[in-house]
Amino acid sequence: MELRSFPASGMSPGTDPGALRLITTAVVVGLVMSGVALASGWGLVTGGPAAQAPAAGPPSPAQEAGLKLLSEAARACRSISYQGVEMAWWGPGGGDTSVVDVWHQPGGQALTRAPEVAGAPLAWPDQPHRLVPSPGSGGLNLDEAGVLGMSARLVSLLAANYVVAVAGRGQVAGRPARIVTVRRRGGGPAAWFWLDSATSLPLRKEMFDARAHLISNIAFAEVTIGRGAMSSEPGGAEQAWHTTLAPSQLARLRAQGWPLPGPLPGHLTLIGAKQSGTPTGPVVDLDYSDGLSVVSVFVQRGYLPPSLSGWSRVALDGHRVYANDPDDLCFAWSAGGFVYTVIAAAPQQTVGQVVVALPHDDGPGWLSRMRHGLHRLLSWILP
Amino acid sequence: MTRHLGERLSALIDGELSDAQRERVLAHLAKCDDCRQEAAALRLLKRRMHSLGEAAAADALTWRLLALARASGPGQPVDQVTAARRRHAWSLVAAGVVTAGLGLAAAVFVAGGDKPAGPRVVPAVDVFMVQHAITTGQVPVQPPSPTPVP
Repeated sequence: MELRSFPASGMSPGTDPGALRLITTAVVVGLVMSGVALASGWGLVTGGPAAQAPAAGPPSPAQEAGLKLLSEAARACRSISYQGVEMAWWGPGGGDTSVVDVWHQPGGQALTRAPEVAGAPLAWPDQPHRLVPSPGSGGLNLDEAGVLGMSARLVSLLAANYVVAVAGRGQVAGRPARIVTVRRRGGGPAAWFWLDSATSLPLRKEMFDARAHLISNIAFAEVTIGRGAMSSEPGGAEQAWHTTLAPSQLARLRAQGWPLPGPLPGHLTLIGAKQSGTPTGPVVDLDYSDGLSVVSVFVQRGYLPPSLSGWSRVALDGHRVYANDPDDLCFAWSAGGFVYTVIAAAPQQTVGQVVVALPHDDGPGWLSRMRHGLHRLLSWILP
Repeated sequence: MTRHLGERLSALIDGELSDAQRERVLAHLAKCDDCRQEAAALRLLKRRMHSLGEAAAADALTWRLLALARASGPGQPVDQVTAARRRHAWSLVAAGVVTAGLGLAAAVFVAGGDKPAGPRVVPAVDVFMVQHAITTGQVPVQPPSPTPVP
Protein backbone atom coordinates (compact mmCIF):
# COMPACT_ATOMS: atom_id res chain seq x y z
CA MET A 1 0.00 0.00 0.00
CA GLU A 2 1.36 3.37 -1.01
CA LEU A 3 1.54 6.10 1.57
CA ARG A 4 1.23 9.65 0.33
CA SER A 5 1.70 12.88 2.19
CA PHE A 6 -0.22 16.08 1.53
CA PRO A 7 0.71 19.69 2.15
CA ALA A 8 -0.37 20.87 5.55
CA SER A 9 -1.49 24.23 4.22
CA GLY A 10 -4.66 22.80 2.74
CA MET A 11 -5.93 21.68 -0.62
CA SER A 12 -3.40 21.88 -3.33
CA PRO A 13 -4.33 23.24 -6.75
CA GLY A 14 -5.69 20.57 -8.99
CA THR A 15 -7.34 18.44 -6.21
CA ASP A 16 -10.02 16.16 -7.62
CA PRO A 17 -13.50 17.51 -6.63
CA GLY A 18 -14.84 13.95 -6.45
CA ALA A 19 -12.19 12.97 -3.99
CA LEU A 20 -12.90 16.11 -1.97
CA ARG A 21 -16.60 15.24 -1.76
CA LEU A 22 -15.70 11.71 -0.72
CA ILE A 23 -13.38 12.94 2.02
CA THR A 24 -15.92 15.49 3.21
CA THR A 25 -18.63 12.85 3.33
CA ALA A 26 -16.37 10.49 5.27
CA VAL A 27 -15.51 13.22 7.77
CA VAL A 28 -19.18 14.15 8.27
CA VAL A 29 -20.20 10.52 8.67
CA GLY A 30 -17.35 9.99 11.10
CA LEU A 31 -18.35 13.02 13.16
CA VAL A 32 -21.97 11.92 13.25
CA MET A 33 -21.01 8.40 14.29
CA SER A 34 -18.68 9.79 16.97
CA GLY A 35 -21.48 12.01 18.23
CA VAL A 36 -23.89 9.10 18.41
CA ALA A 37 -21.31 6.98 20.18
CA LEU A 38 -20.59 9.76 22.66
CA ALA A 39 -24.28 10.38 23.22
CA SER A 40 -24.82 6.69 23.86
CA GLY A 41 -21.87 6.58 26.20
CA TRP A 42 -23.17 9.55 28.17
CA GLY A 43 -26.62 8.14 28.30
CA LEU A 44 -28.16 10.85 26.13
CA VAL A 45 -29.75 8.26 23.92
CA THR A 46 -32.01 6.13 26.01
CA GLY A 47 -34.33 4.99 23.31
CA GLY A 48 -34.77 1.35 22.57
CA PRO A 49 -32.80 -1.70 23.39
CA ALA A 50 -31.22 -1.77 19.97
CA ALA A 51 -28.46 0.51 21.18
CA GLN A 52 -26.98 -2.20 23.32
CA ALA A 53 -28.80 -5.36 22.40
CA PRO A 54 -26.56 -8.31 21.80
CA ALA A 55 -26.22 -9.34 18.22
CA ALA A 56 -29.01 -11.72 17.31
CA GLY A 57 -30.17 -13.26 14.09
CA PRO A 58 -33.75 -13.34 12.82
CA PRO A 59 -36.17 -14.76 15.40
CA SER A 60 -36.83 -18.45 15.17
CA PRO A 61 -40.41 -19.79 14.99
CA ALA A 62 -40.13 -20.85 18.63
CA GLN A 63 -38.94 -17.34 19.56
CA GLU A 64 -41.78 -15.78 17.61
CA ALA A 65 -44.32 -18.05 19.29
CA GLY A 66 -42.98 -17.28 22.73
CA LEU A 67 -42.87 -13.55 22.09
CA LYS A 68 -46.40 -13.65 20.72
CA LEU A 69 -47.62 -15.23 23.92
CA LEU A 70 -45.73 -12.74 26.07
CA SER A 71 -47.12 -9.83 24.05
CA GLU A 72 -50.62 -11.19 24.58
CA ALA A 73 -49.82 -11.45 28.30
CA ALA A 74 -48.77 -7.80 28.40
CA ARG A 75 -52.04 -6.79 26.75
CA ALA A 76 -54.03 -9.03 29.09
CA CYS A 77 -52.46 -7.30 32.07
CA ARG A 78 -54.11 -4.06 30.97
CA SER A 79 -57.31 -5.24 29.36
CA ILE A 80 -58.92 -7.76 31.71
CA SER A 81 -60.11 -7.60 35.29
CA TYR A 82 -58.73 -9.94 37.89
CA GLN A 83 -58.34 -10.27 41.61
CA GLY A 84 -56.18 -12.60 43.61
CA VAL A 85 -53.55 -13.27 46.21
CA GLU A 86 -49.98 -13.06 45.05
CA MET A 87 -46.97 -14.54 46.79
CA ALA A 88 -43.40 -13.43 46.21
CA TRP A 89 -40.41 -15.48 47.28
CA TRP A 90 -36.85 -14.28 46.97
CA GLY A 91 -34.34 -16.97 47.72
CA PRO A 92 -30.81 -15.59 47.68
CA GLY A 93 -30.80 -14.66 51.35
CA GLY A 94 -32.63 -17.65 52.74
CA GLY A 95 -36.14 -17.31 51.41
CA ASP A 96 -38.17 -14.24 52.30
CA THR A 97 -41.82 -14.34 51.33
CA SER A 98 -44.37 -11.59 51.10
CA VAL A 99 -48.08 -11.89 50.38
CA VAL A 100 -50.31 -9.24 48.79
CA ASP A 101 -53.84 -8.97 47.53
CA VAL A 102 -54.03 -7.82 43.89
CA TRP A 103 -56.83 -6.07 41.97
CA HIS A 104 -57.05 -4.83 38.43
CA GLN A 105 -59.73 -3.23 36.26
CA PRO A 106 -59.53 -2.98 32.46
CA GLY A 107 -57.58 0.06 31.37
CA GLY A 108 -56.51 0.88 34.89
CA GLN A 109 -53.51 0.16 37.00
CA ALA A 110 -53.07 -2.92 39.12
CA LEU A 111 -53.48 -2.35 42.86
CA THR A 112 -51.81 -4.33 45.59
CA ARG A 113 -52.28 -4.31 49.34
CA ALA A 114 -51.01 -6.39 52.22
CA PRO A 115 -53.74 -8.83 53.33
CA GLU A 116 -55.80 -7.68 56.29
CA VAL A 117 -55.68 -11.08 57.88
CA ALA A 118 -52.50 -11.45 59.91
CA GLY A 119 -50.31 -14.47 59.58
CA ALA A 120 -49.45 -16.58 56.59
CA PRO A 121 -52.47 -18.35 55.18
CA LEU A 122 -50.38 -19.57 52.29
CA ALA A 123 -46.92 -21.01 52.12
CA TRP A 124 -44.57 -22.40 49.53
CA PRO A 125 -44.68 -26.14 49.96
CA ASP A 126 -41.19 -26.84 48.66
CA GLN A 127 -39.11 -23.79 49.60
CA PRO A 128 -37.85 -22.59 52.97
CA HIS A 129 -39.05 -19.11 53.72
CA ARG A 130 -39.96 -16.60 56.37
CA LEU A 131 -42.88 -14.24 56.00
CA VAL A 132 -41.96 -10.59 55.86
CA PRO A 133 -44.17 -7.53 55.41
CA SER A 134 -44.58 -6.28 51.90
CA PRO A 135 -43.96 -2.62 51.14
CA GLY A 136 -46.82 -0.23 51.00
CA SER A 137 -49.20 -1.84 53.43
CA GLY A 138 -51.71 0.86 52.53
CA GLY A 139 -51.74 -0.34 48.95
CA LEU A 140 -49.72 0.28 45.80
CA ASN A 141 -50.94 1.58 42.50
CA LEU A 142 -48.69 -0.25 40.09
CA ASP A 143 -47.14 1.72 37.29
CA GLU A 144 -47.11 0.89 33.61
CA ALA A 145 -45.72 -2.54 34.35
CA GLY A 146 -48.57 -4.85 35.17
CA VAL A 147 -48.64 -7.79 37.47
CA LEU A 148 -45.44 -9.85 37.51
CA GLY A 149 -43.66 -6.99 35.77
CA MET A 150 -45.22 -7.63 32.38
CA SER A 151 -45.51 -4.74 29.92
CA ALA A 152 -45.08 -4.20 26.21
CA ARG A 153 -41.88 -2.27 26.80
CA LEU A 154 -40.33 -5.01 28.87
CA VAL A 155 -41.37 -7.66 26.38
CA SER A 156 -39.56 -5.76 23.62
CA LEU A 157 -36.44 -5.55 25.78
CA LEU A 158 -36.77 -9.21 26.62
CA ALA A 159 -36.94 -10.08 22.92
CA ALA A 160 -33.75 -8.13 22.33
CA ASN A 161 -31.74 -9.70 25.13
CA TYR A 162 -33.01 -13.25 25.59
CA VAL A 163 -34.15 -16.34 23.73
CA VAL A 164 -37.84 -17.06 24.23
CA ALA A 165 -39.73 -20.28 23.55
CA VAL A 166 -42.98 -22.02 24.42
CA ALA A 167 -42.12 -25.00 26.60
CA GLY A 168 -45.37 -26.73 27.44
CA ARG A 169 -48.33 -26.59 29.76
CA GLY A 170 -48.82 -26.43 33.49
CA GLN A 171 -51.26 -25.27 36.14
CA VAL A 172 -51.27 -22.33 38.57
CA ALA A 173 -53.90 -21.65 41.25
CA GLY A 174 -56.08 -24.30 39.68
CA ARG A 175 -55.98 -22.73 36.23
CA PRO A 176 -54.36 -24.33 33.17
CA ALA A 177 -51.40 -22.37 31.90
CA ARG A 178 -48.90 -22.32 29.08
CA ILE A 179 -45.23 -22.15 29.99
CA VAL A 180 -42.85 -19.80 28.21
CA THR A 181 -39.13 -20.19 28.85
CA VAL A 182 -36.64 -17.35 28.68
CA ARG A 183 -33.03 -18.35 28.20
CA ARG A 184 -29.83 -16.35 28.15
CA ARG A 185 -28.09 -16.07 24.84
CA GLY A 186 -25.26 -17.99 26.50
CA GLY A 187 -27.61 -20.89 27.06
CA GLY A 188 -28.71 -20.99 30.71
CA PRO A 189 -32.30 -20.48 31.88
CA ALA A 190 -33.20 -16.93 32.92
CA ALA A 191 -36.94 -17.18 33.67
CA TRP A 192 -40.10 -19.20 33.24
CA PHE A 193 -43.53 -17.67 32.78
CA TRP A 194 -46.85 -19.40 33.34
CA LEU A 195 -49.55 -17.68 31.28
CA ASP A 196 -53.23 -18.38 31.77
CA SER A 197 -54.36 -20.59 28.89
CA ALA A 198 -57.67 -18.80 28.50
CA THR A 199 -56.62 -15.15 28.84
CA SER A 200 -52.76 -15.14 28.69
CA LEU A 201 -52.68 -13.33 32.03
CA PRO A 202 -49.33 -14.01 33.74
CA LEU A 203 -49.92 -16.30 36.70
CA ARG A 204 -46.42 -17.22 37.77
CA LYS A 205 -42.86 -16.14 37.12
CA GLU A 206 -39.62 -17.80 38.18
CA MET A 207 -36.23 -16.19 37.76
CA PHE A 208 -32.83 -17.84 37.74
CA ASP A 209 -29.34 -16.45 38.15
CA ALA A 210 -26.45 -17.06 35.79
CA ARG A 211 -25.76 -20.39 37.50
CA ALA A 212 -29.35 -21.54 36.90
CA HIS A 213 -30.20 -21.24 40.60
CA LEU A 214 -33.77 -20.20 41.36
CA ILE A 215 -33.68 -16.71 42.85
CA SER A 216 -37.34 -15.66 42.82
CA ASN A 217 -40.76 -17.16 42.49
CA ILE A 218 -43.78 -14.88 42.19
CA ALA A 219 -47.16 -16.47 41.64
CA PHE A 220 -50.87 -16.21 42.20
CA ALA A 221 -51.94 -18.48 45.01
CA GLU A 222 -55.56 -17.56 44.32
CA VAL A 223 -56.97 -15.72 41.33
CA THR A 224 -60.37 -14.79 39.90
CA ILE A 225 -60.46 -13.54 36.31
CA GLY A 226 -63.26 -11.71 34.51
CA ARG A 227 -66.55 -10.33 35.73
CA GLY A 228 -67.07 -10.41 39.44
CA ALA A 229 -63.39 -10.25 40.11
CA MET A 230 -63.51 -6.81 41.70
CA SER A 231 -64.39 -6.61 45.38
CA SER A 232 -62.88 -4.74 48.31
CA GLU A 233 -60.62 -2.73 46.05
CA PRO A 234 -58.33 -0.62 48.22
CA GLY A 235 -58.63 3.13 48.15
CA GLY A 236 -55.89 5.68 48.65
CA ALA A 237 -53.18 3.41 47.36
CA GLU A 238 -49.72 4.89 47.00
CA GLN A 239 -48.94 6.26 43.56
CA ALA A 240 -45.80 6.51 41.52
CA TRP A 241 -44.02 9.84 41.71
CA HIS A 242 -45.78 12.20 39.38
CA THR A 243 -42.80 14.11 38.06
CA THR A 244 -41.63 12.06 35.12
CA LEU A 245 -38.34 13.25 33.69
CA ALA A 246 -38.11 13.57 29.93
CA PRO A 247 -34.74 13.01 28.18
CA SER A 248 -34.28 16.78 27.87
CA GLN A 249 -34.81 17.21 31.61
CA LEU A 250 -32.35 14.43 32.30
CA ALA A 251 -29.83 16.15 30.07
CA ARG A 252 -30.37 19.40 31.96
CA LEU A 253 -29.80 17.67 35.29
CA ARG A 254 -26.65 16.05 33.93
CA ALA A 255 -25.43 19.46 32.87
CA GLN A 256 -25.95 20.59 36.45
CA GLY A 257 -23.64 17.83 37.64
CA TRP A 258 -26.14 15.11 38.46
CA PRO A 259 -24.60 11.69 37.75
CA LEU A 260 -27.50 10.06 35.91
CA PRO A 261 -26.14 7.24 33.74
CA GLY A 262 -27.81 6.01 30.59
CA PRO A 263 -27.42 2.30 29.93
CA LEU A 264 -25.82 0.13 32.59
CA PRO A 265 -23.90 -3.15 32.38
CA GLY A 266 -25.91 -6.30 31.88
CA HIS A 267 -27.85 -4.87 28.90
CA LEU A 268 -29.84 -2.69 31.28
CA THR A 269 -31.65 0.08 29.44
CA LEU A 270 -33.03 3.18 31.12
CA ILE A 271 -36.78 2.66 30.93
CA GLY A 272 -37.99 5.50 33.12
CA ALA A 273 -36.95 8.44 35.27
CA LYS A 274 -38.95 10.21 37.97
CA GLN A 275 -38.26 12.88 40.52
CA SER A 276 -39.60 13.64 43.96
CA GLY A 277 -38.80 15.90 46.87
CA THR A 278 -37.36 15.04 50.26
CA PRO A 279 -36.54 17.21 53.28
CA THR A 280 -32.90 17.22 52.16
CA GLY A 281 -33.62 17.99 48.51
CA PRO A 282 -34.82 16.31 45.33
CA VAL A 283 -34.28 12.64 44.61
CA VAL A 284 -34.21 11.14 41.12
CA ASP A 285 -35.42 7.59 40.50
CA LEU A 286 -33.89 5.91 37.47
CA ASP A 287 -35.31 2.54 36.44
CA TYR A 288 -33.35 0.12 34.27
CA SER A 289 -34.31 -3.21 32.77
CA ASP A 290 -33.15 -5.85 30.33
CA GLY A 291 -36.73 -7.04 29.96
CA LEU A 292 -36.51 -9.40 32.89
CA SER A 293 -34.52 -7.82 35.70
CA VAL A 294 -35.43 -4.38 36.98
CA VAL A 295 -32.97 -2.19 38.85
CA SER A 296 -33.96 1.14 40.41
CA VAL A 297 -31.24 3.68 41.15
CA PHE A 298 -32.16 6.57 43.47
CA VAL A 299 -29.81 9.56 43.37
CA GLN A 300 -29.90 12.54 45.73
CA ARG A 301 -27.44 15.20 46.81
CA GLY A 302 -25.57 14.73 50.08
CA TYR A 303 -23.53 12.12 51.87
CA LEU A 304 -24.29 9.16 54.11
CA PRO A 305 -23.56 9.12 57.83
CA PRO A 306 -20.48 7.11 58.78
CA SER A 307 -22.58 4.12 59.83
CA LEU A 308 -26.16 2.94 59.41
CA SER A 309 -27.74 0.69 61.99
CA GLY A 310 -29.19 -2.51 60.63
CA TRP A 311 -27.05 -2.45 57.52
CA SER A 312 -23.66 -3.93 56.97
CA ARG A 313 -20.71 -2.59 55.07
CA VAL A 314 -19.53 -4.83 52.27
CA ALA A 315 -16.94 -4.53 49.53
CA LEU A 316 -18.00 -4.95 45.92
CA ASP A 317 -15.05 -5.12 43.58
CA GLY A 318 -13.09 -2.96 45.99
CA HIS A 319 -15.90 -0.44 46.57
CA ARG A 320 -17.27 -0.17 50.10
CA VAL A 321 -21.07 0.12 50.24
CA TYR A 322 -23.90 -0.51 52.66
CA ALA A 323 -25.92 -3.67 52.03
CA ASN A 324 -29.08 -4.95 53.60
CA ASP A 325 -28.62 -8.49 54.73
CA PRO A 326 -29.30 -11.12 53.73
CA ASP A 327 -30.57 -10.63 50.21
CA ASP A 328 -28.06 -8.13 48.89
CA LEU A 329 -30.69 -6.63 46.63
CA CYS A 330 -30.43 -3.17 48.12
CA PHE A 331 -27.26 -1.14 48.39
CA ALA A 332 -26.48 2.44 49.41
CA TRP A 333 -23.36 4.57 49.34
CA SER A 334 -22.30 8.15 48.73
CA ALA A 335 -19.77 9.52 46.29
CA GLY A 336 -18.92 12.89 44.86
CA GLY A 337 -21.57 14.71 46.86
CA PHE A 338 -24.40 12.32 45.89
CA VAL A 339 -26.07 9.43 47.70
CA TYR A 340 -26.93 6.35 45.63
CA THR A 341 -29.51 3.76 46.64
CA VAL A 342 -29.89 0.73 44.41
CA ILE A 343 -32.92 -1.55 44.77
CA ALA A 344 -33.10 -4.51 42.43
CA ALA A 345 -35.28 -7.35 41.34
CA ALA A 346 -32.41 -9.05 39.60
CA PRO A 347 -29.72 -11.66 40.04
CA GLN A 348 -27.00 -10.64 42.46
CA GLN A 349 -24.45 -10.69 39.67
CA THR A 350 -26.42 -8.08 37.75
CA VAL A 351 -26.86 -5.94 40.85
CA GLY A 352 -23.14 -6.15 41.55
CA GLN A 353 -22.34 -5.01 38.01
CA VAL A 354 -24.65 -2.03 38.42
CA VAL A 355 -23.21 -1.03 41.78
CA VAL A 356 -19.65 -1.24 40.49
CA ALA A 357 -20.50 0.76 37.35
CA LEU A 358 -21.88 3.72 39.30
CA PRO A 359 -19.57 6.43 40.75
CA HIS A 360 -17.66 5.73 43.94
CA ASP A 361 -15.35 7.72 46.18
CA ASP A 362 -12.42 5.43 46.57
CA GLY A 363 -9.97 8.24 47.14
CA PRO A 364 -7.99 10.03 44.48
CA GLY A 365 -4.78 8.45 45.74
CA TRP A 366 -2.43 9.80 48.35
CA LEU A 367 -0.28 11.58 45.79
CA SER A 368 -3.20 13.58 44.42
CA ARG A 369 -4.37 14.31 47.92
CA MET A 370 -0.91 15.54 48.95
CA ARG A 371 -0.73 17.73 45.85
CA HIS A 372 -4.17 19.14 46.58
CA GLY A 373 -3.24 19.75 50.21
CA LEU A 374 -0.01 21.48 49.26
CA HIS A 375 -1.85 23.78 46.90
CA ARG A 376 -4.40 24.55 49.59
CA LEU A 377 -1.77 25.28 52.25
CA LEU A 378 0.18 27.50 49.88
CA SER A 379 -3.01 29.36 48.99
CA TRP A 380 -3.54 30.01 52.69
CA ILE A 381 0.03 31.24 53.16
CA LEU A 382 0.19 33.23 49.90
CA PRO A 383 -3.39 34.27 49.21
CA MET B 1 69.30 49.30 118.52
CA THR B 2 69.93 45.69 117.48
CA ARG B 3 69.16 44.83 113.84
CA HIS B 4 67.64 41.36 113.32
CA LEU B 5 68.21 39.09 110.36
CA GLY B 6 64.81 39.40 108.65
CA GLU B 7 64.76 37.86 105.17
CA ARG B 8 68.31 36.59 105.54
CA LEU B 9 66.93 33.92 107.91
CA SER B 10 64.84 32.46 105.07
CA ALA B 11 67.87 32.54 102.78
CA LEU B 12 69.89 30.78 105.46
CA ILE B 13 67.32 28.01 105.85
CA ASP B 14 67.02 27.62 102.11
CA GLY B 15 70.81 27.44 101.74
CA GLU B 16 71.00 30.42 99.49
CA LEU B 17 73.73 32.36 101.34
CA SER B 18 77.38 32.51 100.49
CA ASP B 19 79.94 31.30 103.01
CA ALA B 20 80.79 34.78 104.22
CA GLN B 21 77.11 35.72 104.56
CA ARG B 22 76.31 32.44 106.40
CA GLU B 23 79.23 33.17 108.87
CA ARG B 24 77.92 36.60 109.65
CA VAL B 25 74.31 35.28 110.05
CA LEU B 26 75.37 32.44 112.32
CA ALA B 27 77.44 34.93 114.41
CA HIS B 28 74.30 36.99 114.86
CA LEU B 29 72.19 33.97 115.82
CA ALA B 30 74.68 33.09 118.51
CA LYS B 31 73.89 36.23 120.39
CA CYS B 32 70.23 36.97 119.38
CA ASP B 33 67.50 34.88 120.98
CA ASP B 34 64.72 36.37 118.85
CA CYS B 35 66.38 35.45 115.60
CA ARG B 36 67.18 31.95 116.88
CA GLN B 37 63.48 31.41 117.74
CA GLU B 38 62.42 32.76 114.36
CA ALA B 39 64.93 30.53 112.56
CA ALA B 40 63.64 27.50 114.47
CA ALA B 41 60.06 28.35 113.55
CA LEU B 42 60.99 28.73 109.88
CA ARG B 43 62.79 25.37 109.82
CA LEU B 44 59.76 23.69 111.41
CA LEU B 45 57.45 25.25 108.91
CA LYS B 46 59.66 24.19 106.03
CA ARG B 47 59.76 20.61 107.30
CA ARG B 48 55.98 20.50 107.56
CA MET B 49 55.56 21.93 104.11
CA HIS B 50 57.97 19.39 102.77
CA SER B 51 56.16 16.55 104.49
CA LEU B 52 52.83 17.70 102.98
CA GLY B 53 54.36 17.75 99.50
CA GLU B 54 55.40 14.15 99.77
CA ALA B 55 51.95 12.86 100.92
CA ALA B 56 50.67 10.01 98.65
CA ALA B 57 47.04 9.55 97.53
CA ALA B 58 45.04 6.68 99.00
CA ASP B 59 45.35 3.37 97.09
CA ALA B 60 41.63 3.13 96.25
CA LEU B 61 41.62 6.58 94.76
CA THR B 62 44.73 5.79 92.79
CA TRP B 63 43.25 2.64 91.27
CA ARG B 64 40.01 4.38 90.34
CA LEU B 65 41.89 7.09 88.55
CA LEU B 66 44.03 4.54 86.73
CA ALA B 67 40.92 2.58 85.65
CA LEU B 68 39.33 5.73 84.27
CA ALA B 69 42.49 6.48 82.36
CA ARG B 70 42.56 2.98 80.82
CA ALA B 71 38.87 3.13 79.84
CA SER B 72 39.21 6.39 77.96
CA GLY B 73 42.23 5.16 76.11
CA PRO B 74 45.63 6.53 76.04
CA GLY B 75 45.90 10.11 75.07
CA GLN B 76 42.32 10.82 73.65
CA PRO B 77 39.72 11.17 76.42
CA VAL B 78 38.98 14.78 75.64
CA ASP B 79 38.45 14.16 71.88
CA GLN B 80 36.08 11.28 72.46
CA VAL B 81 33.91 13.20 74.87
CA THR B 82 33.65 16.00 72.35
CA ALA B 83 32.71 13.57 69.56
CA ALA B 84 30.01 11.98 71.68
CA ARG B 85 28.58 15.38 72.46
CA ARG B 86 28.56 16.24 68.75
CA ARG B 87 26.79 12.99 67.86
CA HIS B 88 24.15 13.66 70.48
CA ALA B 89 23.59 17.15 69.09
CA TRP B 90 23.22 15.81 65.52
CA SER B 91 20.76 13.20 66.70
CA LEU B 92 18.64 15.89 68.28
CA VAL B 93 18.76 17.98 65.12
CA ALA B 94 17.81 14.97 62.94
CA ALA B 95 14.93 14.04 65.23
CA GLY B 96 13.68 17.60 65.10
CA VAL B 97 13.86 17.70 61.31
CA VAL B 98 12.05 14.34 60.97
CA THR B 99 9.33 15.41 63.41
CA ALA B 100 8.82 18.68 61.59
CA GLY B 101 8.67 16.85 58.25
CA LEU B 102 6.11 14.37 59.48
CA GLY B 103 4.03 17.16 60.94
CA LEU B 104 4.13 19.08 57.69
CA ALA B 105 3.21 15.97 55.68
CA ALA B 106 0.31 15.28 58.01
CA ALA B 107 -0.89 18.86 57.66
CA VAL B 108 -0.68 18.65 53.86
CA PHE B 109 -2.52 15.31 53.85
CA VAL B 110 -5.30 16.61 56.08
CA ALA B 111 -5.61 19.80 54.04
CA GLY B 112 -5.86 17.72 50.86
CA GLY B 113 -8.98 15.94 52.07
CA ASP B 114 -12.39 17.17 50.98
CA LYS B 115 -15.27 17.72 53.33
CA PRO B 116 -18.35 15.83 52.17
CA ALA B 117 -20.55 18.11 50.12
CA GLY B 118 -24.27 18.60 50.61
CA PRO B 119 -26.57 17.55 53.41
CA ARG B 120 -26.23 14.43 55.50
CA VAL B 121 -28.75 11.98 54.05
CA VAL B 122 -30.34 8.79 55.30
CA PRO B 123 -32.04 7.19 52.29
CA ALA B 124 -35.79 6.71 52.67
CA VAL B 125 -35.54 3.07 51.64
CA ASP B 126 -39.14 2.34 52.59
CA VAL B 127 -40.33 4.98 50.15
CA PHE B 128 -37.84 3.87 47.51
CA MET B 129 -38.95 0.27 47.87
CA VAL B 130 -42.55 1.26 47.28
CA GLN B 131 -41.58 3.17 44.15
CA HIS B 132 -39.53 0.22 42.95
CA ALA B 133 -42.49 -2.12 43.44
CA ILE B 134 -44.84 0.30 41.70
CA THR B 135 -42.47 0.63 38.79
CA THR B 136 -41.67 -3.02 38.36
CA GLY B 137 -45.02 -4.54 39.20
CA GLN B 138 -43.12 -7.07 41.23
CA VAL B 139 -43.52 -7.29 44.97
CA PRO B 140 -40.13 -7.46 46.60
CA VAL B 141 -39.55 -8.10 50.25
CA GLN B 142 -38.94 -5.30 52.68
CA PRO B 143 -35.32 -4.58 53.62
CA PRO B 144 -34.47 -3.10 56.99
CA SER B 145 -34.71 0.67 56.96
CA PRO B 146 -31.36 2.27 57.67
CA THR B 147 -31.02 4.49 60.69
CA PRO B 148 -27.88 6.43 61.48
CA VAL B 149 -25.84 5.21 64.39
CA PRO B 150 -25.52 8.01 66.96
